[in-house]
Amino acid sequence: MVPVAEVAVATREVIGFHRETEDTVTLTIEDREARGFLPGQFFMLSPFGIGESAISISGDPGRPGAIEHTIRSVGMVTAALSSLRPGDRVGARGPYGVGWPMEAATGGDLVVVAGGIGLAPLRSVVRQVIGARHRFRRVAVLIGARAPSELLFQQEIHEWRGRFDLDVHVTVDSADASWMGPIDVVTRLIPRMDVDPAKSVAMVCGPEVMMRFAAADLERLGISSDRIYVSMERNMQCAVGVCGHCQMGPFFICKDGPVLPYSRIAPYMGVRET
Amino acid sequence: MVIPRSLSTRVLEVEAIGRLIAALQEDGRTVIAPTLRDGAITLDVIDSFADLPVGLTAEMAPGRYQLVPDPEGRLFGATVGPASAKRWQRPPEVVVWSGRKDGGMVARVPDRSESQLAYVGLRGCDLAARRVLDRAVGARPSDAFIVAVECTRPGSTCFCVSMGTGPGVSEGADVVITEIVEPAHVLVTRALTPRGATLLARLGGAPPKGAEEDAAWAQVAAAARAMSGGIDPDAAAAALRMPSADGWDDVAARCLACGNCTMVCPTCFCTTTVDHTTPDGLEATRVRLWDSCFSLGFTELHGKPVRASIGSRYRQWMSHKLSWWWDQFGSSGCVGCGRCIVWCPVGIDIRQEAAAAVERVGVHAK
Repeated sequence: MVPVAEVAVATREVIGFHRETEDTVTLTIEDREARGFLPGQFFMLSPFGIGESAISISGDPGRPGAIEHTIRSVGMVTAALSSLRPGDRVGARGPYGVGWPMEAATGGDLVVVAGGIGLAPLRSVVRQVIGARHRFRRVAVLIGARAPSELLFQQEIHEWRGRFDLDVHVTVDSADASWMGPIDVVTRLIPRMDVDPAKSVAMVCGPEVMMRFAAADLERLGISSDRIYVSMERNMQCAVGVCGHCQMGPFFICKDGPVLPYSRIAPYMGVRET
Repeated sequence: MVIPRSLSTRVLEVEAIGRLIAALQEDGRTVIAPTLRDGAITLDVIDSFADLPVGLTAEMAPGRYQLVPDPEGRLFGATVGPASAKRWQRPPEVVVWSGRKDGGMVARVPDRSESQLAYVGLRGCDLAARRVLDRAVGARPSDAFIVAVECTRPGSTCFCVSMGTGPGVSEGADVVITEIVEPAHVLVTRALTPRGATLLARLGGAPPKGAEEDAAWAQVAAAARAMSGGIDPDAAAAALRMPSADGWDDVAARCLACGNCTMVCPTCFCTTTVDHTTPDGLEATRVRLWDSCFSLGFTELHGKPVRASIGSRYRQWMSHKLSWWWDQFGSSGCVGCGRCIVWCPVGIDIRQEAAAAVERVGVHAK
């Protein structure tokens, strides 16, 4: 038989749990080595014996020692992750991938457009912006959800809206009379924001079709497609570009992305089943 | 065809292969060579000269593989079979880790097992595939000892010439053999590396008298000339760069999405990770298995496949192999071995499908 060298695989302790919505939770996982991460990067998380999934980081890059993940339960692995509680351990490797272009956005206006769970990786961006607000000019945050009950980070969004230096708009697809905000798709918020398109970088995350429509509207506004960034989602198993699952055209979404300039990925997003 | 100045050349009688196998085994290596298994000449572990498929060859065509006698009694009469070196280079099943829920997970890192192997009988396409696969998965070349064989009688499904990978061998091996039957049945053998030369010195043999070496060269050159058609790599890469939703119905109607092409392809590297867990959930083993972009679940996202139609999966496979591979790894992913053509149960021929794609897009080679 083949000789093997045995190496321990890292597991980490869950140190926080917060239920966001009926099907979505935020887990805080210890990061004692404090290797840090960039907004938009992801981890591969393994609840023991169930499998492994790519989960984006939703926490604050400026908070050392802990990494937050906001997880919607859509399959076996995410369901098992959602059942973890403080004190449990979880297999974790990362961070992986290319994150949001925080450097490119510095000094200019910033547009953040989030649909549904797509707000998770953009929450890291907003947190970083708030932590170094002077590095950016005007900042617009556009958030869409299917319904008020599916809106993530509600308390935090209230705090964002209370700031004079963030232009935050929230919309939902449908709601009852208790919702006082707009009922519309998130792209309809784009004309409401006050930014200089020529000096703006846009960061968009949500369902693929929403990202295409948002990018088209942002382009129409005058933000060039190489300054519009989208975060792609594909089946990922290795996270380092060798399992093949996440390929989309010439890109390995796990290592060339998940964040990519719209100018590069748009030709592939536009073709069915790519 | 350029064959660089070799370190040494010897003419060996056919039986010297037995001594070569023994010498490699004495060095502690397990020898992998063509051998008869389940009605096909394939690569597998052999013990001795007796395991070689002497006097057998194979007729290959799209969707067809037939063993036939080789009246000239060659050792290496058949070109490539269903298995490639990928089986050892990137094994079909690898344990990633195993462990207990309360005791942590222990990774089992294979100790680059290929380095204890010796391959005998790899072809030019196989050697190219090893380089392509190593680059794709980010692996360093292994220390496996390689005795390559030049092709003198390519099959009808071979198209290495168009992909620039054969039929001659000038790199990627320690020793290169050209088996000729005229003027005599001998092995014209040259070393490409110092350790190849060392091995050759242990086997004896005579320096070539000229006629044998000339015959070897002539037969490999004739094999190259005999291989017509193939794929125009530049035109295919250009035609498949942008995915088109149209034009795939024809191949989709024939393709069974069985994934055979990807299993036999010496460069296809896709894998899936699976956890095997005991019923009580307390012990688990994570394994990495070969998978195929033709599997319906390969692109599953939130319970639905991104590529549901067979046409989109064929398009993905061929576009990746012939076009996006250049963007990712700086070469074509196809080496022209023709395995995907032979082992496709319905005989889909990548040469024809590539030509059809080029035709559709109207891209023509300069």
